[in-house]
Amino acid sequence: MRLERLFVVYLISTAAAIASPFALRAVDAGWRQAMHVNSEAALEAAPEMHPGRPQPLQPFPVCAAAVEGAKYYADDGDFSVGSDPGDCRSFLPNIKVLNSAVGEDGTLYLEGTRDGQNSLSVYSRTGELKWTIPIDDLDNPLALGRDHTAYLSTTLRDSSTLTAYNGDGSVRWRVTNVADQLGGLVAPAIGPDGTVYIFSGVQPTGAPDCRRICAAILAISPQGQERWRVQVAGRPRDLLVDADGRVLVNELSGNVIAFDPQGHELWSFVSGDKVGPGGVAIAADGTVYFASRFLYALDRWGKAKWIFKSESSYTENEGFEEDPVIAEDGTVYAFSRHHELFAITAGGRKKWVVGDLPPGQSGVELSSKGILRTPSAWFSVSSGLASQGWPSANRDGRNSRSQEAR
Amino acid sequence: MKPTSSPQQVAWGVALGILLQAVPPLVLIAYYELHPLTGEAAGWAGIAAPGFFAAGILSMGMWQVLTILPAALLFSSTGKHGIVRGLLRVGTFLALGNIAVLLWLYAIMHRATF
Repeated sequence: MRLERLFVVYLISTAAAIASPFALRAVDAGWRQAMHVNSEAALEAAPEMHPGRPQPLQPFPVCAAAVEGAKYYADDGDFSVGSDPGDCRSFLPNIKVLNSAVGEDGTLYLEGTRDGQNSLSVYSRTGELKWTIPIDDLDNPLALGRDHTAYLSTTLRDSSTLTAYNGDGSVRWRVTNVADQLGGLVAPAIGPDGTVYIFSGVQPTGAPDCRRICAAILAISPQGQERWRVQVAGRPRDLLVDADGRVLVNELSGNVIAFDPQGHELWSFVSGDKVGPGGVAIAADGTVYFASRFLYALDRWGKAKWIFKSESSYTENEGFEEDPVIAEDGTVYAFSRHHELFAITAGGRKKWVVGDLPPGQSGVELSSKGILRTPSAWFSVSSGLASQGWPSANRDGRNSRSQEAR
Repeated sequence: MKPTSSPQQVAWGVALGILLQAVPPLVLIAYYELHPLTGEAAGWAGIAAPGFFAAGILSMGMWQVLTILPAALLFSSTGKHGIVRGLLRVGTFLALGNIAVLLWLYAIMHRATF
């Protein structure tokens, strides 16, 4: 090659090398802006935003079958029970509540500090102490069976134990699984037939026998017998059960796996999102809403019915987090990483969006009366929490109490 | 002056072109030896050093022009066209390689993001 030509090739190559980062950035930006997102105008104006939390304190929406007239109130750990917020509230003495659940007969199961000791204390709906047991940790998720059995999951570093308590506080059975409990707790879920679903733990490195010690979801009968177990990739974020007994595993890797009540995998939805998982909610018709980078609506076969993408999904790495909630009218409320609150119709259209929430933590909750709460603001919306599906008025299949008044 | 070019000169040019890539980082090191950072600036520089090093490696195809081009012009004026050819080949290779690396990184980032 002639020297002049070689020189020209060199100059062009060098110029291209210098320009390439800018060109790639421009191409990338153009590509991101060209991606389809839900940039359409909202169907309606957002409701008025009220900073802070609702006042006066709203009563907890106890589970639907709770004894009529029993209402529960909480304020920074003080728990009260009564039938009228005006004059019938009697605060339970000497207990600061961290976790709680409400039985179908109105029985209160309160995890907290009582007389200076961590305990699980059970009260009648009129506030009388029925029984109490000391517990090591206050962060143990509770679940209540329909037969008044209380399931308490406790963990040590290398094992987890699920204990079933009878209605009088006696231990019915215990199931212990030896496995490293790395990464926190997964609340048990109870199926329609009383089967309790738990996560067993995380496998140690080089575990030779996955039958016993690898990460798995276990199905435990109400009598304490293991019905089946299925191996999962690791600690899930959530375990959910829908009205048909489908077990949904919300994996931290951004996948949702559905199993039938016999432990057979029905489907697996791989979002491919690597932004950390949000939560899952289930509508009355079986639609699964999966909040991840986008909000996915999955049909009964795990196929995406629609995908809602916020406008800055690609340009500012926006995504959804925490559990979405579903209203009785089908509206899905989802909270984004950039602290936007979205109301999305059951058909996947943008109903309204609030982008100027006061600073605060993440999450959204909906009461049966239509009070929509984030940690920093609340709204009054037209429809309350869906009466079926997950989360329900008593929050979920764990039958634990709604967080509404916290 | 009669221009000269031979395979040996081209090889010398290639070797020189490669060696010249060490000059900018050496100049930088020498500068900071003479003007050492102190206090918080030194701490931040220590934290950012691996990133700057990686960025330097990834942009070799751009800053090669600071050494290759002057050297090529210099040797061209002395009629050492073989050395010039070697230098330009190194510079072209670095520039095109830089583009390839950036495209590869972009593809990886793209897959990770989407």
